[in-house]
Amino acid sequence: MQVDWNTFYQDMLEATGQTVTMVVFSLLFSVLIGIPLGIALVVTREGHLLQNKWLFRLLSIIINIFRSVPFIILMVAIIPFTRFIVGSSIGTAAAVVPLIVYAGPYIARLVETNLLDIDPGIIEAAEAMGATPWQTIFRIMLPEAFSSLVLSVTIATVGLVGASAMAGTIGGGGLGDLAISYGYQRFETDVMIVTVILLIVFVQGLQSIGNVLSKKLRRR
Amino acid sequence: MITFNNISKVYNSGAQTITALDQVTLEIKEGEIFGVIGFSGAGKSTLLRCVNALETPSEGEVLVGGDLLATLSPKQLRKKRKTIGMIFQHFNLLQAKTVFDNIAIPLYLLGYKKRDVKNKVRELLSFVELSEQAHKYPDQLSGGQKQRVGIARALATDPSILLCDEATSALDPQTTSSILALLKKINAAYNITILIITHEMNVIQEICDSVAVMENGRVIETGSVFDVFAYPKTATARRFVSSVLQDELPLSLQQMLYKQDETHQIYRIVFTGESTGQPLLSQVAKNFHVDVSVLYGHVTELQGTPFGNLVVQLKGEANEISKTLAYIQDQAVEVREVVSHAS
Repeated sequence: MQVDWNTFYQDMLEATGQTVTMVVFSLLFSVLIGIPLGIALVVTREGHLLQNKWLFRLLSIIINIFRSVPFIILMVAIIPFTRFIVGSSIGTAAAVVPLIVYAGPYIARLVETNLLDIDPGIIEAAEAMGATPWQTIFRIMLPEAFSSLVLSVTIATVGLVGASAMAGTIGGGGLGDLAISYGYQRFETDVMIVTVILLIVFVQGLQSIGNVLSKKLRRR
Repeated sequence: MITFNNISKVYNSGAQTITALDQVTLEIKEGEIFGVIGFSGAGKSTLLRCVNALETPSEGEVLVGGDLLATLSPKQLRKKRKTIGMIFQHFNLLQAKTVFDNIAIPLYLLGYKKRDVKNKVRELLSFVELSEQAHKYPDQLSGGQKQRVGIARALATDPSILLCDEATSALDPQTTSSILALLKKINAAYNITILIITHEMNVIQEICDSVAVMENGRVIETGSVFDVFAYPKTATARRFVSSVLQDELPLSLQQMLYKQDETHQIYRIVFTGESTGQPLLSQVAKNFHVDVSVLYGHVTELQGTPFGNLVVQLKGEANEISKTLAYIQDQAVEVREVVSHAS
């Protein structure tokens, strides 16, 4: 059985829209969560600006817990939480919640790496200038790491495109759902091929944008 | 201006304790250029960081401009730090910001208005002769230019003290000289007290007024640059002095020392200040029955005072030689017998 592309392209468009929605919203919130967490992971460590051994350990352990659960399991495991937040455990909005829980800690770790890459001498110079810890974070560290932060967010976005494909399991829709339900379960090979091509275009586009932005920001 | 009062710094890493500073007492006067020299690991970097409390001593006290650092609140300390500029061996500039923005950072931290920042940065840029490079990034600059940016940034808050952490160690000799000249200009123009740590004796020779020699966390020798160069007391100080004055005897000369006897003796004559201009050797040759041959020597200038060092061989009767020596000493010139190498 072949799908009729004259009408099926609309399903395709809808699925693409769902994927975009899921990625955009989950990215937005996971950046909002991940960047402060990543900063906290750096500045609370020993000898750093706001050294706090217990907070550092606590954050690190929590992040590791979330990072160690595979997304497909995480999605199911946090259903009660999802229902509490969006009032439902199925649909596109419901898929956004586990995507945030998945990508937030991931971004935190990426941001941590980016900030640790800053030459400690630069932070020492800021301290010597009499900068407050907040000034050091916002006026020195973040601007200095900005171009690598952009690359990290790009990596996280690509990860979200992949993870969002699994959101079909809880009725999230999107291109991944389409590929599974038509391409795999109904042996519609051409649907499978088209969705895979679309996903490839997506990822290539995102990575290119990220690379160009980062390079522009590096300006050296 | 800066007083280190019996400070020690001990680090505990596991079972090991490392003593970075061991009962250091030093006084740095307002407006002077003070150098601290030592090999790596001598503790000079820790000492420097005690001035702006990037390090806090385990014992003893540090006074900066009359304030006891240990008693300052974090807020007061940040305010204090704005009166203490610091430059670094590896410059520590923000790579993602232009020369202009790097210099502007301390001003923005102080809450300056954009227009005031612009004026101040322009003034600093012209002072360090970098006006043309304002919109370049640190990666596009040479080492010397980067250090100039570092200096301009350190001066942005009009500090009364400038700390230099091996500021010329990553630079070639010519660039080093131009940076040292700039530091001297800053000292003269703004009467800023400068504390320099280095392992290069030529830095001390070129611009410092006073010097402290450090080893194993201790200050083993301190005094005016002239005194330490002319009369080093410790082996380490002598080694540093030798590194720039080249008063170490060449190998061929050292071999000659073994052939010394009563009638052929080798001496080191040290001229300082006015005595440098005296026709000492010709007087000796005229008045005594000795032959003088100059084996090795040089004359240089320390803090504007001439300083000379001659190694001579005296040939003649033993009693003539001792009369000669007495004469030389009468002229207020120091003379020492050269017994072994590097003495």
